Amino acid sequence: MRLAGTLLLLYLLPCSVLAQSESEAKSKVAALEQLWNQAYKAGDIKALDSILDDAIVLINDDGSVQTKAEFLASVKAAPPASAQQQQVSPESLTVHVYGAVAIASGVMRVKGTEHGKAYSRAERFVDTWLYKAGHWVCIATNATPVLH
Amino acid sequence: MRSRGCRLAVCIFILGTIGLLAPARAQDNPDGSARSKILALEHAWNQAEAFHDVKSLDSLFDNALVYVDADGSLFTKAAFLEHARSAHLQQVVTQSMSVQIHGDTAIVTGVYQATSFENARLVTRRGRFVDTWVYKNSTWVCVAAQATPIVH
Repeated sequence: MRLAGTLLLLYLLPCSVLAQSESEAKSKVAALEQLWNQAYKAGDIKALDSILDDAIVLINDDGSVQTKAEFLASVKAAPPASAQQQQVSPESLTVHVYGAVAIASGVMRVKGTEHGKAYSRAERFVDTWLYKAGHWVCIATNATPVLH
Repeated sequence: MRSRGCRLAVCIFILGTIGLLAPARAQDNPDGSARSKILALEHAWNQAEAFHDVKSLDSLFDNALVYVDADGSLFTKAAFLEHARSAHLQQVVTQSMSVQIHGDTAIVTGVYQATSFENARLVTRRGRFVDTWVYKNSTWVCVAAQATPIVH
């Protein structure tokens, strides 16, 4: 009886740890998505550097591609009233976890000024996060304007 | 919808130059083996979509697939398969494709050109895509795919 109980405990323990880990991973990735938005608005290069993998694949909403270095340089080069003029606010977020990989997807509202004209558009994004060396880092990000 | 049918010609070229050479080096380079496997799966995706082979597509995608089309619309796996079953074919050519391997995760990026017949005229659009593959239960499955039009 005691053996059966021990075996049951041994069987259930990894399941609960796994479930907890997935839940924690979802929360962690959601928090990192929020951190990314805040760091971008604030032009916090150090924070952005820590959450983006060196080999990140970064596709902008116009289909252009940037390396991590190019992206960080563009944020750094932008004067306070320029890059940060673009307001990015998440409207929805869903996270799927596959072990050491997480897919974060959702819609964000992007507001700003371009050629003197104000714009506001919804964009759907998919970010791929990887648990690497004890940290979650983003290895791919893509944004697509929502037309309909 | 970014149909992937007819991407075959370019994909065959890629597999011929990269994929078929990779197995000889696979033992020395596990990433190279995974890379050629992923390219083969992208090729299988193209074929399956071109032939409305929903069963094959079903095996390539994870049940929780997140698919974002070039117009920003979101498809679940079920919605994507339903569309693939009845979609009319447009000509889509992949102009470039690269694979990054991160252990049990692969990121595929590339540029495609889609030509379709709309309102009695041919319309051509270019876009960039990102597909994420995960090694799960001893097989690679696509868990996310997204296309973004190239504006400039």
